[in-house]
Amino acid sequence: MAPADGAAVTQELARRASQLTKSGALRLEIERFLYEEAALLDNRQFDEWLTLFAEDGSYHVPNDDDEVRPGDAGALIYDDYRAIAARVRRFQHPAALTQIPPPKTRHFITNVVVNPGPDDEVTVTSYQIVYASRRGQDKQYPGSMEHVLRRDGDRWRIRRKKVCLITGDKALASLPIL
Amino acid sequence: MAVEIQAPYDALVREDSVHRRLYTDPEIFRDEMARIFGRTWVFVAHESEVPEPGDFKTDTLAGRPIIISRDADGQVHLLYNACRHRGAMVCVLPKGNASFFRCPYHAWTYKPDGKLALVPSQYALGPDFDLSDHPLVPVARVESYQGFIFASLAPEGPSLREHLGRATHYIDLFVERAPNGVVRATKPLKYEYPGNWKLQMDNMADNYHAEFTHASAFTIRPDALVPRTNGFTSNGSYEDQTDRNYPTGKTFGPGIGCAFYHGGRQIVSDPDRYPDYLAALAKAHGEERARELAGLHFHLMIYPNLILHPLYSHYRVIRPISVDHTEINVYPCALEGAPDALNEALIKAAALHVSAGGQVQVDDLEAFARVQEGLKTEAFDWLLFKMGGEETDNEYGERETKVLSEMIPRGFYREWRRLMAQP
Repeated sequence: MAPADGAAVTQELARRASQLTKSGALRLEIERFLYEEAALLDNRQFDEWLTLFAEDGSYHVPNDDDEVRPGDAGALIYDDYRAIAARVRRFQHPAALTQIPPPKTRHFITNVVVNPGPDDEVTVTSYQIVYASRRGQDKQYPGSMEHVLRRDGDRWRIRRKKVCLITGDKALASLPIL
Repeated sequence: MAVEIQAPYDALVREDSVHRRLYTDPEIFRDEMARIFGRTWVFVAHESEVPEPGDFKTDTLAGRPIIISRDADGQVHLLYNACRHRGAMVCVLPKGNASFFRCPYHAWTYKPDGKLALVPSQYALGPDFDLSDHPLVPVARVESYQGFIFASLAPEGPSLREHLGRATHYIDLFVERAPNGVVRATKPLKYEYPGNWKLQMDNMADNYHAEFTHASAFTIRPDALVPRTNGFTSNGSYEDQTDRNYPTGKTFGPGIGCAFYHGGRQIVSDPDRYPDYLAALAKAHGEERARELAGLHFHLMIYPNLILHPLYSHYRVIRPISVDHTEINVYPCALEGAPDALNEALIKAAALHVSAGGQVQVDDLEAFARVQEGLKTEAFDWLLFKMGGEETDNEYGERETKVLSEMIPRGFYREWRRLMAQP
C-alpha cells in the first residue's frame, strides 16, 4: 500500500470516528433531554416543562395508535402551545379535583432512536410507560412517543410531542400529563 | 344477623329525594339491568358507525354481548353474539367489515343478517336439522330515528317514536347542525369511573355544580383549543357562564329531559371564525336559523343511556359495568357539509371537554368517585333532589323551568320507579 493511500485511510477513519462521536454525542444529548422532561413532569415542575416547548409547539395524544387524521378518530389531547399553557394552569389550580391529591408519576422511557432531520431538527421516537399512583389506585399508560425537537441556541425545544397509547380501545381513567 | 327486608322499589324514590341504595346495592343493579336496560328503549349505535354493507360493531346491551351488523341490502341487524351450537361469541373485534361471522369453535358460519349459512359435517346432525331454525338470535325490537338506533328487549311496548315523543325535535336540531343534514360518528373516546351509572345522568341535568366542580377549568378559556386570530384576551375565564345565569330545563316523555345553556361562549356560531360553515347552514335553513343552529347548547338526556350534546358535537353513551363501575363512550360527530376546519375544532373541543385527557369531565368523574365512596358511610339514607321553583307547561307539551332546579333528575327517578316497580 502506497504511503499516500495510508494517509487517505487514516483520514477516512478519523472522519468516521468524528461522525460516530458526533452522533453518539447527539444521542446522549437527546436522551438527556427526554429524561429531563420526564423529571420535570414527575416533580410537577409544570412551568419549567412548558418552557421546553417552542411557541409553535404542540402536544397530541391521538385516540388511536394508528396514523389517522384527528378528524377521523378524535383525540384525547390535541393542544397547541396556548392550550398546553392552559393545561398547566389548570393542573396548578387549587380546585383541580383530579389533582387533589396529585398523582405520583414515574415516566419510564426506553428504545430511544434519534433521526437527525433538516433545519436543525431531530425526530426522536421512544417507548414510554407512565406509572401513576393516586388515592390507592395504580394506573399504567404504555405507548410510544415521537418528539420533533428544534435546536434553539444551546438548547432544544419541542416543536411536536405525540404520545400514542396502546390502551386506545380500553376505557381510560383520567390521564396525567404523559 | 339482621336480614334487611327488600323494600319495594317505589318506596326508594320520593318526590324530592332518592335512597342511597340506588347507587350502592348490587341487587338493585341486577334488577336495573333486567327492568330498565332489559325492557325500555336503550340506545345502541348510530347508523354512521356501520355505514357500509358488511360493516359491524360489537357492544353489550343490558350486559349481553351483541353485534350491530349491516347486511348486503343495507339493513341494520342487532344480533346476540352467541353461536347457536354451544354459545361461543362469534365475533370479538370492536368493529370491522365482514361477509360472514364464523364461530371459532366448530366453524358454524352466519351471514351479516344473522342467518346460519353453513355447518361443517351437517349430515351428522341428522336429516331434520334445518339451518333456518338456528340463526343468531335477533334482539326483540329495533327501531331508529335520524340514524340513532335503539333496541328494546321487551317484545311488546310503545314504539320508539311514541317513546321519544317531543325528544325527536331536539334530535332533529342535533342533526340539522350538519349543513348536509347528516352527522358522522367518529371513533369513541372511552373513559371510566368508579361509580354508579346514574351519577352521569344526574350530572348532565345538574345546573348547579359547574362553577364549583369546574372551578379549575374556568380559569382557562373554554375555547383554548380553537384557533383565534386575536389571541388571548381578558382574564381568560368562563365568566359568561358563572354569573348565576343558570341554564333552563325542560322535561317531556318518560324520563327524558333537556338542559339549555344561554349566553355562553359559542364556539361555532362566531361568524368571523367559521363564515363558510354559517354560509353552508344558511343555504339549507336561512340566515337566522343558521345562527340559531350553530349556537345551540343543550344536553338532551334520553333515559337511561344516551346524551346528545350539540355544542361539542358528540353523543355520549352510558355503559353500566357494575353497581360501582361505569364506562362512558363519547362519539364525536363530524358535521357533513361543514368545512374541515370546523370539524377539527369540534374534535378538539371534545378532546378538551370530554376525554380522559380533557379538563372538564375529568373533574365530574372525580366527583362521582367521591359520591360512591362517601355513600359507604351509610350515615344517612336520602340524597336530595329538592331544588326548584316555578314550573310551567308549554304549548309543545314540555314542562319548563327557568330557575335553578333539579326538575330533570326528578323526572329520571320517576321513570326509574315506574320501570323498577314492575316485576
